[in-house]
Amino acid sequence: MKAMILGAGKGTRVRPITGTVPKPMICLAGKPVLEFIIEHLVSQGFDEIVINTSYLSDAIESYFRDGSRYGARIAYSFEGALVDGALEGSAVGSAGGMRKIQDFSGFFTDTFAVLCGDAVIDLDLREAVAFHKKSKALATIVLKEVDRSEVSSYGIVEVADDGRIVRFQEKPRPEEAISCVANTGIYLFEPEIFNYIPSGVEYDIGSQLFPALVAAGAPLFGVTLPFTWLDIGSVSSYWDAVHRLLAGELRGYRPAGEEIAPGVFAGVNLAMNRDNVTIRPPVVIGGSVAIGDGAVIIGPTVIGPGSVIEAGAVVEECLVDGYTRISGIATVKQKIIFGGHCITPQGNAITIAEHDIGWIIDDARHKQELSPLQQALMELAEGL
Amino acid sequence: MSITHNQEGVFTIVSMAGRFDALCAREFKSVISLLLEADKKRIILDMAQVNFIDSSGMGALVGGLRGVAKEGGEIRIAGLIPEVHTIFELTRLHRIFDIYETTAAALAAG
Repeated sequence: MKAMILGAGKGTRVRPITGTVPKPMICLAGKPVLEFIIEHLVSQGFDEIVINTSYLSDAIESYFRDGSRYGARIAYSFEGALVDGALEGSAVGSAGGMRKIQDFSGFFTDTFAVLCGDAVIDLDLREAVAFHKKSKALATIVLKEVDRSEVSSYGIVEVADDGRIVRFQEKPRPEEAISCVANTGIYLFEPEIFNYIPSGVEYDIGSQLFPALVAAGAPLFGVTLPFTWLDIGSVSSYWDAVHRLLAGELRGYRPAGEEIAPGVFAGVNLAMNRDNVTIRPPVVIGGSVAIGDGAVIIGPTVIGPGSVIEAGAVVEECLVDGYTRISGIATVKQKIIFGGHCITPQGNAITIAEHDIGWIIDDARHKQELSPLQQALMELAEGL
Repeated sequence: MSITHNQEGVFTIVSMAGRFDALCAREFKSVISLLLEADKKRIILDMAQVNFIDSSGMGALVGGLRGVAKEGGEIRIAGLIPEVHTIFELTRLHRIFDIYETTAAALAAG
């Protein structure tokens, strides 16, 4: 079967993580979200995939290439232009991106799936397709009940008893929400859907196409199935997603690497004396990581490849990007260290360079030079 | 950076605002010296308006704490914004200072 993955968004709500990485390439425990999605699609029989790209498109296209190592055939629909030697994105909206592919080659010839590139799922897509066909739907949205306090992050729908969707609300305030049933960004369509999507204009699935279908009385259905949905729409949901992944909520998931102790996975070329380091699972450590004696690593924690955790450092509930050096005096608790930023799970970020904390947390490849004062503070903190 | 101070009972509240960098560190040290000369050695640092601290600022804080403790006094820190609090944690400075959410809480702690 055929599928499209929406990979062109800028991910503004996940900044500063998306400053250097497009949202679909954000890693959960070392693996890009998009890689989870592709592997799942293939396992469900969707092996012809087009990904629309725009923002930082190279990062996606050079990673997945033609998809052969996933047992899939993958192609890209780039939305933008090469201007003065640099790629400039010009997003056409989610439905506009579907239309662009269809206008290009007529790719969608039968029932097909469209998925957002910002959520890891273990959904039984075959069951969703069976529902879609049985309902004779033109479009089916996979739905998920969310907590009322979270409705303002999602598109909310009202579903009639027969499964038809009758009303939409885009990111309502909790007190105004018509329900707590959210659009998960997973859709099934019939090719006739293109009768409702205009060519050559920016057009959105959630806020334009679906309301147009409801207004036209077209068969738009919603299906609620039990599945795990780890979306990374914001920094805090990214934080939750990694925690839930490491807690084993995603069916069939096993972290990469060797399980060196219960719940502790590590890549190769690990420089660590296990007898002299305290590790509490779940912890995932990338390859070529060095962890000094006396360091304490408390899970859920992910330490990216090439990182250096110096002797004596305490790293507790952290998501540490690759090539990060954490000084031996540092106590880092509940932080995301990514792209030169130290970010709280709520999304507050301090820039390592601006705040002059490069002597505590830095890129592991930087040559380290401490001022006499920093050296003195280092010695003071070592005794604490 | 501006540093002002006023008396609240036995405590001297030193209020700081802006960037706590090398420039401010010098001013901070002289304020602490003057207070100690006047025998005002129970100090609450209101840092709610401090939006940045670098290693010079941290050095001045540690130096100030040592000077005050030598005279049998104390320094309490109040009102750290999340970014500055994070830096205190990262460098473990939060373990050597008594830190309170607000000046009122620091005063009420007896």
